[in-house]
Amino acid sequence: MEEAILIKKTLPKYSQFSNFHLTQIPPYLVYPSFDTKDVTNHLEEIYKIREYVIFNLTCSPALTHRENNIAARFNQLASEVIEDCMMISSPTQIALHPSYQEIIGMGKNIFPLLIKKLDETPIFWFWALEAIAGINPVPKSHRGNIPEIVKDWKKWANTNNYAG
Amino acid sequence: MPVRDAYIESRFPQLTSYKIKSPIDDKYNCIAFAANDNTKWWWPKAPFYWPPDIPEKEDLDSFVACYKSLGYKECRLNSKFEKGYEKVAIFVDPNGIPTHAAKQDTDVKGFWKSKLGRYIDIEHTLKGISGTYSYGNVGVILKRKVK
Repeated sequence: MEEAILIKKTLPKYSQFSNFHLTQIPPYLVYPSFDTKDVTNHLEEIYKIREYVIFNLTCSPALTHRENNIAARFNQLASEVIEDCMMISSPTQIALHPSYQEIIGMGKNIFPLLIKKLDETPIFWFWALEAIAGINPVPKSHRGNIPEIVKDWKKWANTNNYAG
Repeated sequence: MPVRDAYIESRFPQLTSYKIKSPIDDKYNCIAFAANDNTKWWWPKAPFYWPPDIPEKEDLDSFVACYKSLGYKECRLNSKFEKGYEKVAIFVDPNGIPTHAAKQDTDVKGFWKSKLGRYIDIEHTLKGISGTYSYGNVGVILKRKVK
């Protein structure tokens, strides 16, 4: 399949999924034959072609479409969490919300978006930040002090180039 | 303060009589508010505040221990106003996990006060916020002498 067709037709279809990675492009999409035996015999060639396509696509403006989709999906999920959990005190209850679970599943891609959300609705996002970063940078002396916890996370994000 | 709130009423259909007492504030939650602390978010899990030496477990025993450390004693489900005492009601979900705390209003008999998560705080009856949304029902009530 020609690269132009892949960018125009296939990438938008896959990039609507927030956790899409270019390496998930099925090999058969870059090789003209659908014959199983033929594909099996040319696997090495197929993977090389896919690598070439991915290399070119990483410079492609089609990626902007993907990044925009990630932000849009995150914002939609965050809105659902805020709407449903506005009056909930338990961070565990909030974290178990299906939309919250999906946010955690989006991984490091959305870390800058989470840091930005701390300015609006701080208490919701500490669990997700810790789950994604694998660390809790808040000292014991700041426990419960929401403005200080926000500062701790922002400082950590800046130091580790996660601020976006 | 506005007189009514559509969001609250949609989540608590039994809430017929209530008063809005303060605006949205992210700094404190219901557990803190019931402990007369409007500066921190209390929950037995980092990075939130929990009193020292109290087990950091999300179960009723830990929450009871939390308020006992502030001088409260259990009085089962006795929600009646008693002169000279202040009371706290801890709500639990169907699995017995704490969800919310309310403190008794010492000015208006029969009414309680709650900070609703990060949302506003209201004056209400216990029945008004029971049985619905994510709060469940009252699991235990504790009381202490007014200082």
